[in-house]
Amino acid sequence: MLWRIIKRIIYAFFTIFLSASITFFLIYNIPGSVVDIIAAQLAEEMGVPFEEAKEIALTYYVGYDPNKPLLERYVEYILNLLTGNLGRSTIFRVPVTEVIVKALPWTLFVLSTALLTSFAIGVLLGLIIAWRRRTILGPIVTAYASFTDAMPDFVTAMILYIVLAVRLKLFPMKGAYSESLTPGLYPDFILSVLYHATLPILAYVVEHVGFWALLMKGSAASVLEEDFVKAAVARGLPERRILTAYVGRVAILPVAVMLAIQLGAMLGGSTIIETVFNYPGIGYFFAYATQNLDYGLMQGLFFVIIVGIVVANLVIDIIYPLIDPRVRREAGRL
Amino acid sequence: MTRTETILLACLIVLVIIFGGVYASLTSSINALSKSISELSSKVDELSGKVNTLTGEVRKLPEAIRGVVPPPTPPTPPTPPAPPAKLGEFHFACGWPKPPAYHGNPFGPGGVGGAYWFIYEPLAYYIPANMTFIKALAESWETKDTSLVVHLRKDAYWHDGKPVTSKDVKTTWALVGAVWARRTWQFIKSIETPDDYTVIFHLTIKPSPLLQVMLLTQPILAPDHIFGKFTDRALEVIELAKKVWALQAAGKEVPEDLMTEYKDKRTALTKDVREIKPGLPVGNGAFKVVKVTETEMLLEKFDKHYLANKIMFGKIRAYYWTANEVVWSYLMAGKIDCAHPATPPDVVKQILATEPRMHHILVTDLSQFAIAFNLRIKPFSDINFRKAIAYAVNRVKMREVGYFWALDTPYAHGVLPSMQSIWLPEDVLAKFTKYEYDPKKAEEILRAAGYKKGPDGYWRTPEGEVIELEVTCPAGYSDWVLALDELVRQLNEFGIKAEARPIPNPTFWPTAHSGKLGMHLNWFCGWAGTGDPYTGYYDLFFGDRSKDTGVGTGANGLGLVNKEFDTPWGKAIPAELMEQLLVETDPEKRKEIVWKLAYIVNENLWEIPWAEKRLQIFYLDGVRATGWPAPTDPVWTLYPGGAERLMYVLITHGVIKPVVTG
Repeated sequence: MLWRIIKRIIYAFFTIFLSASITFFLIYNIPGSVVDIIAAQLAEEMGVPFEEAKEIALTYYVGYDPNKPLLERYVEYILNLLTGNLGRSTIFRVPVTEVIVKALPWTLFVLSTALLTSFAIGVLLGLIIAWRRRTILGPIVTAYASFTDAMPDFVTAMILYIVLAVRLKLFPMKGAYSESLTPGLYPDFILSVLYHATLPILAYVVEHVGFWALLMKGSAASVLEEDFVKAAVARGLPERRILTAYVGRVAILPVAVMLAIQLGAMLGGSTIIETVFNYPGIGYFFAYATQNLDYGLMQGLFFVIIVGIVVANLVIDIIYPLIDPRVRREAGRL
Repeated sequence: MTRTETILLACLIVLVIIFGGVYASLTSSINALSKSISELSSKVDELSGKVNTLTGEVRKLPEAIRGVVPPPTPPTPPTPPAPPAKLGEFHFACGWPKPPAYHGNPFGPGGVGGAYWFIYEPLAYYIPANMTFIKALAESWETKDTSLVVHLRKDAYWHDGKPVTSKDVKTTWALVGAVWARRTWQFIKSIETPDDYTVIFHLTIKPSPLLQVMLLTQPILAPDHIFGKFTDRALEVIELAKKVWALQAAGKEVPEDLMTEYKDKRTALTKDVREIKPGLPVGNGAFKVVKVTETEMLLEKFDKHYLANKIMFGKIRAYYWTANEVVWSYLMAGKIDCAHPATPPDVVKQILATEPRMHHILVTDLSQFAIAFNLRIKPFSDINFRKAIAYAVNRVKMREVGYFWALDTPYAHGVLPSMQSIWLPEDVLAKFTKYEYDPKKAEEILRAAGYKKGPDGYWRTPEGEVIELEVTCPAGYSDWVLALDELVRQLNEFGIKAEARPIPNPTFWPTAHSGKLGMHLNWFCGWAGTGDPYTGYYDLFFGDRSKDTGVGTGANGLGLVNKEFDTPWGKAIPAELMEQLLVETDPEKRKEIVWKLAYIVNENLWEIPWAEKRLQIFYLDGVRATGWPAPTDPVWTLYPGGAERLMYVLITHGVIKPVVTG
């Protein structure tokens, strides 16, 4: 068991290394150049020719030498990662970790709340519609899921934004809290944070409930055919007990794996939802970094997402056999 | 159903209701929009009528106001009522370097953002439409031979409590000259500060009205007690810059050692100046920045400001201008009191319908869009080809597609169409060629010049080669991209093989300035900053446009600026006319100089304008602020190049006031 865990950790490190390397090369092959963007800005601000502005940008602002061989920069990047240095943001001119520390709490708060809410509602709905196939609830949920699945995130977010924030003025249009308040743990501030987070959370929940419901329905439907469920029914056990202790407990396992992955990916924020609602989380900064070709920040954020997903997978790999005896047996044979 | 199922069903129904309601609301909005589209043309016609009336009104301004540069004494601002017990709040949208990048240094990357005009005052503001000044930090000024003597007011303070003195003016000018390479310095010999409240600009020429505008309207943004340690270094850099500029203007090669010294000293100075990061800016305006976040910037009234007792707004709240679409939503929700996002007619209609207290007016941006040619290469070097293009392209259509709200012109003289009647009387204009859409005339011109149309329907040069053009524009200007597509469509229809290629902005401008583009969309004769034709012609003959087209001097220029041209008023050389225009103080004589310049530019078609850009200003009356000036008021021309500058002047002079509630 211990050796298995060690092996998994080694794989995880390897995956992180490989993914970080691939993203490094991909990012540096994005068309356009941050040097040109800064130089254009400097040329306008300083009234100097573009070539001169480019020299100044390279000397003082970019933080890397674009003429240095890519491989050399890559080695530098990996060595920095090993020392915990995620790099420097070209646009914000601060270490990437500073931006992440600032934005991550908002993303974690909004997305974890939204994810767990949509998961809880979706899983319960999925379980019910799998169990009671002949009720009207099944087609309703399926239609709803198909509709929200077909609808892009940003459309849902924009509709909610226009109707609830712009037209009805029920919710704020931007920010994580009222700017007139000083951040702190006191009721007014907490209420303001909840108020500002409502629309982003609602957008996420509306968009994802159907997904979880269908996923759970599929998983539960296959479990319902298992002999142990039939036996439980034959034994006359109460419906609720069969649903929760027998069907639900088994069917939720693959769905929980997906939840873990989603929780890991959550570190990357939801670029579209955070941008639409002007919510200053990781996704918001990700969009800003991409628009401005801030390679340093993009790399840092990608790295955080990679680590999040890999660690989530690792945790699932380790705890899955503990909660599912079938996998434990399989693992034991390996 | 079990209880759990019932609860779940209820949850689902709630979600469906929310989503359904939202969807229904959107659908109804779309339907309402569709219905209103039919009403749009009438509304637009109505608007156009109003704008024409506005233009007419401005044109009717007494000649005495328009033609004569006013004395330094400004009009007395209206006396505002006493400030109410509770001060109001004003909202607008702008950009700024997002924290943690925000530094509070106006010379730092991205500057201080949209707070600029709220926190820094110039010596005076200048209203281009009626050529008047509004005094700010300057109490008065007078001209003496080749000097401009400015007397500062004694009750102005920086936000950290220190008084604003003549040293601050000197330090500001030193830094804007060295760090921003402000070319006004080519006319400044030195700046003297005989006492704390007197500044003397010693000049190389007489302080013409135009030069006064340049000197007086620069915001004073470098407090000497913070930036003063750089003043001497900055002045040293400026002396080097003057040598470089002089050689460049004469079309001579700049010695490498001089250029290296200039660049090195300037870059080192810039770096050191930018190292100063006060966090929040130290300004001298009536408002000071107190908080900056990713989405909002908050300014509060500065109680030590000399107009503090007249100002009835206690807070200014700025929303981050992420994109025009975001600003539209702020306008619809009535969240901001003034903004100028480029907005298509259907969205304008929707905004005005959603927020009935919102107003929409059009004010010249003092800039023009044009089809530009690289005169160094064929067939653009041929005036006949350029003339044919001027007749073959329906520029009104380009304007309608690209920037609906802009103003058309059948001329290419460089004077803004909205200011045409001020500078070019009808009898003068009658001597100019009018380039109205006439494809037949274009064909005649081409055939007379030896061009032929082949059996495939495409035009060939006199040498027999099929004309194939790649027409470019900055990809980031979505309005230009639309106009470019229309231009290319029309060129192909006329028989000129053309392809549109938008180029990313950071690449477009350097490529244009190095003379590597052929036919492209570009700016043309913009008057921003001064509201004077000199600024527009300067750009065309000496600025970036001269590099793009090749009109200017220098290694890559054709030197057309120094060529003699025929005009109805005798022969003239653009460079000489420009010098005269700069120093001439008699308004009538200045106009005569402009006639010649305009004629040369119109007949040579180095660029063909397709629109005068007009800002679409939205302002909200009666929610937080009220008392906006009439759309015909010349004060609106303070808006181009500094939207917040107009808001600031209106607020500080008590023109707009908070809405009294309760």
